[in-house]
Amino acid sequence: MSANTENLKTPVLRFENAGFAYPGYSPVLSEFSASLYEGEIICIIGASGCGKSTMLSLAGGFLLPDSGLITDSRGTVSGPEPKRIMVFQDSAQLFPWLTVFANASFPDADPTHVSELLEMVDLADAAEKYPSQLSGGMKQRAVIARALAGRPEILLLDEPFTALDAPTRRGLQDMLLELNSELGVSMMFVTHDIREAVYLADRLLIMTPGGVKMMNIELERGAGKRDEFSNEFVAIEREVYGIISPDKS
Amino acid sequence: MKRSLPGTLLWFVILLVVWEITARSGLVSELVLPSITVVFASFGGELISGSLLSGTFVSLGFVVAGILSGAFTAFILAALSFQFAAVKRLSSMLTAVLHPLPGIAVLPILILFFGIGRLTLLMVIIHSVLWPLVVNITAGFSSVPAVYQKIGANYALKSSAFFFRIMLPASFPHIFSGLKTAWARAWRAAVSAEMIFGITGSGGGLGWFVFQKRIFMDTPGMYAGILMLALIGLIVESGLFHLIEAETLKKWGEA
Repeated sequence: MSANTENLKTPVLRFENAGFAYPGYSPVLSEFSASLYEGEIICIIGASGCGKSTMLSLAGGFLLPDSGLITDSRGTVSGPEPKRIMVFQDSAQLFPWLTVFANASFPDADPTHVSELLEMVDLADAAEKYPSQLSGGMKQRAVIARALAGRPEILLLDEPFTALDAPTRRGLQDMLLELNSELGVSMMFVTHDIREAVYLADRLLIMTPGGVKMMNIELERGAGKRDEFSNEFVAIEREVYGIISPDKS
Repeated sequence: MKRSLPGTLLWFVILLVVWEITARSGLVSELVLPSITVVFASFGGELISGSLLSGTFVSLGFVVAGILSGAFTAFILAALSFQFAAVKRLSSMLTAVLHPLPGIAVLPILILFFGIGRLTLLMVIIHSVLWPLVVNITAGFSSVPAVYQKIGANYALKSSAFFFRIMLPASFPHIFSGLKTAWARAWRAAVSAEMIFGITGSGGGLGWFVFQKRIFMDTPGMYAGILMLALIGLIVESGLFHLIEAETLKKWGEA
């Protein structure tokens, strides 16, 4: 356990010898065990088609393991529920017929908490706007506000910033780190961008055809704290790249 | 294309002037084309007497009742089609066969079953609105993004909450389009049926009003009735639907 994870209190999600395969295909996971701790950010990274989104769907209860167990703070995960909330890869997750505030309140979140969240994601001034009036970055902030409005234990994010330009992405990554620090919500974050993963994560969950590898990131985490041009950061990036693409490293 | 109100009004005035000149020139009999001022006078007189308004309310009452009944049936059929493949096949077959049939075309069959009367008129209207609504509601349900299903599941929404809070509003653009078609078909079907068969009898609607005026050669009264038909169409299509669209689809960026 790293310096980052030593202070983490309790596991909020556990994979215990979990296995999963789509019918007729090789297993995506077999005998996989790992835990997500309270307040921790795990980034799931790997080549396209390696099963990153499948891993997230298992954590969310949208898929169930063929073998082994996945448990959360209330017991075995048997389906999706609001305490494990998912931000999907689809770009059109906001309901176009609801304002930003109504979207963030969906289905029945506490309005005071929603107002606070909209302040935190810098959307307070856009609360009465409709999604069609928002930029891509604002839409993703609204999606994240909605995801957090029900006070989930775990936020599961499937490549949420892929379609955004680099400065907007960095702003949202920092926002996510601040939300994590202020709300203490645990996160699993799927990305194909190694730099994004190293910037955000306490630990990386690296998926390769040969299996799943966990890696601690021994850098201080927080908004703007990791310098992506520092030697340490670049060295971690290279190491991860070497694991994902051993032939090209 | 954006419509220009001054441009539309200008054309309207030009047409009225041409009408008035033609009527006053004596080229056309006043029994065929009375002066526009006479038509307006008749329109005012019929309004004051109440006969034009009562006819309008009768026709509108039938159309609203038909649309509500048709919409209720269409929602049930579309919801069952969404759930059950067998019902979907039945619905597709019925829609393919019955949707192209004008309401007036099924009137003889309905008269055989229900006789000449208000029920038959209501059935004609229901037939006119049911199939376009089924087509549009079904298309609306099918076009609900798959990610909404996942969001509903993630929030553990019950089926009824998912239907009313996600499916229905997400389908609204299609449903609204279906309602516009339904209104147009219902209004035309109701007025046509009244005109052709006069089936509402005494206390009839606007179609019956126009039909009677023609029979008794009260040409200004006939034009007054037609003017009211056009006005109602204008109020509903360019007023009511326009307003709903501005408050919903345009705000949502879906118009």
